[in-house]
Amino acid sequence: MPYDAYEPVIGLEVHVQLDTESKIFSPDSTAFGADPNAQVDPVSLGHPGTLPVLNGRAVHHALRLGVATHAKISRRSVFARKHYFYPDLPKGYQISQYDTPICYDGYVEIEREDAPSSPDEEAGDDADPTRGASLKRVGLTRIHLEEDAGKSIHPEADAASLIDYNRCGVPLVEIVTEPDLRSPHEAYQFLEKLRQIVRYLQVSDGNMEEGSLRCDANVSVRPRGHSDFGTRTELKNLNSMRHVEDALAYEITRQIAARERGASVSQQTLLWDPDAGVTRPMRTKEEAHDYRYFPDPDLVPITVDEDRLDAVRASLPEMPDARRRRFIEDVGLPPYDAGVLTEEREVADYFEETLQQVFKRTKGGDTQAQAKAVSNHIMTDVLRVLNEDDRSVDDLPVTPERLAQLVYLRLQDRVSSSAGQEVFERMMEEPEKSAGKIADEYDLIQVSDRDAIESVVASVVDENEEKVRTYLDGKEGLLGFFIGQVMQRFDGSPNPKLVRELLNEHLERRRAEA
Amino acid sequence: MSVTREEVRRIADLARLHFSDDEEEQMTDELDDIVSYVDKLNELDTSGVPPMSHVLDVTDVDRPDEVEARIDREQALENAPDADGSYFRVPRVIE
Repeated sequence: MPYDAYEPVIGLEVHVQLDTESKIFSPDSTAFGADPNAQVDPVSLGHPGTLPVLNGRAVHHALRLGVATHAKISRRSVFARKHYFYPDLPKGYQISQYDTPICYDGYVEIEREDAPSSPDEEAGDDADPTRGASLKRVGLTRIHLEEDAGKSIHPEADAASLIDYNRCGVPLVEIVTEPDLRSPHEAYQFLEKLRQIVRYLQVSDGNMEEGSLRCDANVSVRPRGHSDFGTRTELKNLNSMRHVEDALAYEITRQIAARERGASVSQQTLLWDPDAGVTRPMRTKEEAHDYRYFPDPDLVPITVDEDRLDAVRASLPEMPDARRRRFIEDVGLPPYDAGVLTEEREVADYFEETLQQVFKRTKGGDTQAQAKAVSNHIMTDVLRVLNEDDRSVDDLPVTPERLAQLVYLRLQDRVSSSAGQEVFERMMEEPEKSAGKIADEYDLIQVSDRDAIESVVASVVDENEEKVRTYLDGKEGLLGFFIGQVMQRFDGSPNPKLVRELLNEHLERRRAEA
Repeated sequence: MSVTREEVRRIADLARLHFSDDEEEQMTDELDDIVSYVDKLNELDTSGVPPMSHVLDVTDVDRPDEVEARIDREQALENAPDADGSYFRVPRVIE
């Protein structure tokens, strides 16, 4: 059977580090990048006799994430101890949640790649009229709260392992998806969407490279059309979105090749080796896990009543999909622009603030064109600068107020599009000057004074009798010459559109007179 | 209900405990006593009774998200069997 005759089935387990100042059960700091063991506490070190006290903000973050992913919220959930021995876990158990995750049964929507390929995949079809392609729902089995473990290093030259407990006790949510994903690209899309959601909610920075978002994947293949699952393998060490996609693609091919050979796929944990581009079985011995979960008697249950849930709902920002839809339907942006501008919450905020500032100046008119003008400037100038300098829009010297000044100049046709770009560059360098002042100082204001331009046009036409005749005889390429003459003689920058228009007028008048 | 030697060995193994033969036998008897005692609960119909996760009838105890450095690194490493001034040193975990 060819590759296409198989269908991959993928489920993800994602750990997201919650953005809090202090740890989930103790007041030591969670700041990234501190000296080893500088941010620890008797509780996070698991000293005897210490007791955990829950960080309220971690719970709030988890609830916000649950509501934003359409999950059900447990009215009452408890923490459980998950027992295993590893030196990065000083207590000998991890405080996690077991049979009562704080949120469950949620979903995240991604763009569907192609038609449903198996009967169990039809649930959740929901066409979004603004997106063209239909959306696919990826089910979230559960979202639960837990604490992170420390970090171990194994230096080549040392007979010992070294442990840094700074990360120990950092609040996490573990998000487990249903086996709903059908391709490496869907897994990639899902992670990107999840990252966008946690960033919009400001519950995490979602940075995979720094480990604030970590992903393990379960994958199996089955003949297309079958509904039972094949034997799955678990992939670890996926440290970027690209790794997730690459490792899954490799592993799917490997499993299909094994089945084609008539060999079986054995259930095991594999590590992705990004340098070699292959998955390898983990070297540790596979022992059957028995975590002996039981409710942690040191912590009392979390309850969520309707009032608390209302407060959580009220605290949610407008989420990216809703915002994109509004940018298309109410603001009148093309879908592409709306998608780009809503990728990051800060950029979408920047767009809206700039647009409000523009509206203050235009006081009506074609608001859709005004929105498009703001969008153009953000997509070409602002996002380029942000990418080049790897900076946040919030500390851009060109604030929404200042960008609005520039957009307004453009809307009034007082600067040309290329001059507009130059004004923007100079605004980056000279944060204290307004767009108008910069355009003035650098002589970038384009003159749209019809009479002033017309007098120059008239004299250029008058003084070039011969060229005018050649032009009228059919050598229309000469128009460029006339435009050049006008631009050269004009004191300042004449509006090129107007120059062209007036030249045409005058030349045609000559033709009529001839 | 009776606890077997096999079960005791397995639980001891999971807890990284090592018992002599005598201890293992003693442990089996004692665990069996405890389990039999708790087994009395089976005489009652507890379907519909939610499992008790905590002895106190208290919920939602939490603290504000505020940082407090209660110990520094020196203090953290003070009680470690082995440390190098920055890290805890433990027997090597992987080969």
